[in-house]
Amino acid sequence: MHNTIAAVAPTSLQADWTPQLRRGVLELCVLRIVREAASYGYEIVTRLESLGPLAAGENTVYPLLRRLKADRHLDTFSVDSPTGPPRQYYRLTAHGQRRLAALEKEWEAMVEAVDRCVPARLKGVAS
Amino acid sequence: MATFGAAMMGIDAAERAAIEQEIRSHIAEATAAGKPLEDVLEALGPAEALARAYAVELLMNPRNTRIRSVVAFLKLAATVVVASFATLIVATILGSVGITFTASGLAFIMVGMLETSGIHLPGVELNGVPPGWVVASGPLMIVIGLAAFVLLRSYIRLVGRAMRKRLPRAGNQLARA
Repeated sequence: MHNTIAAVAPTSLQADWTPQLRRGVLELCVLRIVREAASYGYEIVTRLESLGPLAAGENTVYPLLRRLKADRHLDTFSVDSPTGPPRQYYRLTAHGQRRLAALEKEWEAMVEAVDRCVPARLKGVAS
Repeated sequence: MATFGAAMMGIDAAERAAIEQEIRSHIAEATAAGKPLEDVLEALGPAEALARAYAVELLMNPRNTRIRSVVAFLKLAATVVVASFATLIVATILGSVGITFTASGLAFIMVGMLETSGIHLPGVELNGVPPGWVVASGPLMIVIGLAAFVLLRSYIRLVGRAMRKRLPRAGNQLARA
């Protein structure tokens, strides 16, 4: 029965649960990317695309970036681009660093809680 | 981009310009990286949907609709006060001119035609002005009166646009979404 469930479930997970999970962690991931190095929008989008399940659409990432800027977690500076309009780079502010620290702490607590939820016998089926 | 810009009207003008430039930059970067323009635009999605996504993040977030600083609040208050005072004066003058000139023009036409026909209304004196001139001045006064109404309408629309730029329009954005 568990094997039947495992064979049927992945499609609905990809359609429903994974996008919801991604939406929940996207802010954390974007702030982490920007913490590594100041990045512009296209760079952030392609970096997320390279991370497989974290690939969020441009129409999700760009509005999120503007909201993070409006909330003063990020600020921006322009750099001329050889390809067209100036690139708008995002960097973490002090306020954003505190926000990221809080999100990371919450994420660690969430991961630990989820790990405790999953019984040992199901962990064997999932892997 | 024009459709996207129009759909973003509820967002502050400077922010809107920055967002439009960022989208243009994304399109330029993606096509320079070898992606077909059609694929890039398809990935961005319909202009209205993208604008809605920005509205959800920027206008529905309670932290963003709150006035953040005393300076911003004072600017808003000053706009309301100046607009109110100016509107009081402008509306009074243009409204008065519109009503009195239009009504007077109609009256002049009527009185002038009656005088021309030999009918003299009690209490109405032309003071030596030929009735023909009275009739002729009627349309001119009506035009001035109507022009005052048009100016008043234009002023009200101007103030409305200026106020919309200053004040968040989360409600209208949701209604369109």
